[in-house]
Amino acid sequence: MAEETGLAMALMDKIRADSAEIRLTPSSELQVLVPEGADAESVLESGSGPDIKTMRGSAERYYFSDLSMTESYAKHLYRLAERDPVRLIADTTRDESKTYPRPTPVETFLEQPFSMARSEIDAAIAAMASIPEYADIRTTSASNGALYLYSATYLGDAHAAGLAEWIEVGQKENP
Amino acid sequence: MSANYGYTGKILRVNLTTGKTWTDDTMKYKDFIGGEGMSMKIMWDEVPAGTHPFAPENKIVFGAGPLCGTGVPCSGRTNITSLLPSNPYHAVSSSHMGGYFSVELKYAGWDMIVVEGRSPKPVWLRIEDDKVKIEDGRWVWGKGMFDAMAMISSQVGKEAQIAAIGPAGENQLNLAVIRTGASHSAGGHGGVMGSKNLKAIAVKGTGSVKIAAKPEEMMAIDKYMMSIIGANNQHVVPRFPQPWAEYTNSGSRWTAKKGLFWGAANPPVETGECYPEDMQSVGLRTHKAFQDLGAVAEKYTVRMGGCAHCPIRCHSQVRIPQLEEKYGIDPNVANTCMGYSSPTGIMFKGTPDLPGQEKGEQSMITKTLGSHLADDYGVWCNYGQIGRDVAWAYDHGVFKRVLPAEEYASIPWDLLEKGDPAFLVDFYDRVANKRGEIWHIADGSYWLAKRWNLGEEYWAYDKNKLWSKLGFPVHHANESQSQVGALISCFSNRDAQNHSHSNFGAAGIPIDLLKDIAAEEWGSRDAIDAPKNYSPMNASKAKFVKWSLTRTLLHNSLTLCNWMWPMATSPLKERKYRGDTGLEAKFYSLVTGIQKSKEDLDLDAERSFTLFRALTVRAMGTADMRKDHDQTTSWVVTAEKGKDGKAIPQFTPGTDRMTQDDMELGRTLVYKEFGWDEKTGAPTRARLEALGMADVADGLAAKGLLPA
Repeated sequence: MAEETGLAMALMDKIRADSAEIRLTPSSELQVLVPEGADAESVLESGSGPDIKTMRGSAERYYFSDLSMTESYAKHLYRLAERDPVRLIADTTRDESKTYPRPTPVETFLEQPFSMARSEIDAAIAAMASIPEYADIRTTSASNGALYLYSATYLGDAHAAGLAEWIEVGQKENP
Repeated sequence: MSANYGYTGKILRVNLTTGKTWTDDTMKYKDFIGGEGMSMKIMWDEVPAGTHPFAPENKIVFGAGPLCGTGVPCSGRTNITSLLPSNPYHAVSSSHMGGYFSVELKYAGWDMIVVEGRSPKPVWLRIEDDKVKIEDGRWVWGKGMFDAMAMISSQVGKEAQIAAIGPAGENQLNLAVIRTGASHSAGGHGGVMGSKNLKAIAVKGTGSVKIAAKPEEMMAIDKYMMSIIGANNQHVVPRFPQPWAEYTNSGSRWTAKKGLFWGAANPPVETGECYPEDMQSVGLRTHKAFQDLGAVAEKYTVRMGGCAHCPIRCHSQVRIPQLEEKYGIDPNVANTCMGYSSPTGIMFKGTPDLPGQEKGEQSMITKTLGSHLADDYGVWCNYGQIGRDVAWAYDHGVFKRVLPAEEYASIPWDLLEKGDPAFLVDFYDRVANKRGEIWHIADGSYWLAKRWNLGEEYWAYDKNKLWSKLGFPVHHANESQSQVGALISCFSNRDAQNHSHSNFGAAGIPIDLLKDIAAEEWGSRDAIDAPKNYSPMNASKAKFVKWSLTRTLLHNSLTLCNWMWPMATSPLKERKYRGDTGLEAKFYSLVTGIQKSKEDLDLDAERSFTLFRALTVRAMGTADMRKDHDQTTSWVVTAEKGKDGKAIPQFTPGTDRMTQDDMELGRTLVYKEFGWDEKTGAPTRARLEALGMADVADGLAAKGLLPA
């Protein structure tokens, strides 16, 4: 038991060290730290600190310590790690439409931590149009031409259009 | 009340007609806190209704409050109160400037300056501690503000703080500013100084402001305050995702991030992550050049400037060599917000980048050139309205109709058409120096509409953003917290300049969290609406309106910066993003030694706001404020059209428009909150007496202006 606890501590130390450097820890990087036959995920499941959080990806789990980054930021890193720009944009948009609620300027994805190229963003938005699971993701443009995304699950068309115009144009005219 | 803590206890009185100066006792106005509140009382007592703003009988009051000069964060504001030239009734109103002027005034031993009369020749006022002298100002009269300040500085010393006017003020334009420092302008009362032949006030103080509390008590509350403070406008989440941040907002002025620099600093300064617990990086949170001038401005940014005792540096200081190369002006420019954006309103045809320019460069040049010119001439933009008025007059053939043909032909409209900011060089010169007819654009919208017969369409056009036929525009109105912002603007005599509500709504945290805080402050989650998703009026919104109106007046009285205060939210997750709306009272009690709760101070501010209302009733000569003062222009209560051309019904998602019936209900509920007459919106005798202002009730009664 003491050995297991020590092992869990080592894994948590690794996760916390990675989080302090603002990166997620994939389970594959933890697995190399445990003895043959042991399973890193199981070790952490059986006992990890309250700050250790996990998200399941398509191929493996990702871990982070919320002492160094928030869940919302970890989600960004998780979506980047999954290397699916279409899903990244759609899920980030859904989060914003639901949480605040507000439409998301596509410029968001040019910034850190996304740092996507404009062509990559445009291609992802174009791809969404033909994938049924992204049918809720829609676009609206402010009068200055800025493009915004929103999820129709959480925002109506008129509401999203009105908010985009306010955020993009009205707010700047009323500093 | 002791005059030894917070207050200096002295008001400087100056009569420019007689040349006499004397000392008055601050404490006789103690019920009105300081700054704006005390100034309202002086205006009520001493300036009769019907006085013209430019008459010698008008007075202009420069006011500091008890917290000014004490080190309380964001306490460097100067409140200026007088009759407002642009208002159709010349009603009393206030303008405000940041900088270091009021702090220096306190160090010189004065809480306020009251100037009356008219000097027979141009003068400036020299204040060095208790030595006051009216100096010959003929040698600085006619100078732009930058030169005038430098010249006066050469006489008093560079440590002096100076408040001055430019040619616009000297020429008694309705839209003229008083400025201090490099970029701190109070819009609206520059012409009043000009009418008194008063070019500037220079003040130098070697004293201090005494504080009742022990140093460790002040340090403790200061540290606490610094944990709650956000970025400019008390935005409490960053614009860009940060590892420490749970929330972001693309409109946030917390613009700091890794890789964003004050690029022209030597060496360049990175704004960085600025996590909330790091007090040492508070001043880096807001990169105002990036916010106001765009990403192109990063490499031209020398640093952020600001006001005395303020950790939030919201005035960007940039060095743009193109200004010197192309226009022969100083490449060093400082400003913020509307100071930068109003010139682009005048250049309403757009300012496209030229070949070889970076993206946004021409816009940056326009903003900085225009702000320099406006600051030198001292022209006020009426919160951006001057640009919309230019656009309306140009697009609707008004200039062609009202300007003499020779004058019209002499104006370089081709520069405007092609987006060449050189148009501004010509424009501000004509306006500030009252050349031809076009300068009347600076009469203000009410007087302009009358002179140029602009018609109902001018007021009704929503893009003109005119809030009231009293001639002022939207300034955080219906688009900001639904009926709360809308009603706040209805109680003003000029653009509302109220950030108590707008900062709260724009803090950046999700609407559910804001609603939780609203329920704690104003009794119901329904006190606020999500942007563009409004519900009909209710009583808790009326409480929010009253709180915002009185808190803003409280800040202008203490004097704290209402562009930052109140601290209703914070960036701290562990506080559930709560701020502390009792901080003003805590600081007041510690500084003055007079124990007041936040309810006590709110009541003091209510007294001052009710006096302001009485002043407006007296100026307008009617008690029917609902009908004659508090109404909006028609577009506010007309459904707007969506992208499909169909009307979006009010109180459905996607619109921020109001209805007339709902606004009338709102007025009634706010009148009720203040204890005023619910039919007319005028203060009643009972309420005035309850607030200790029986004399004001008597004054209104004598003119038949008390509601039945």
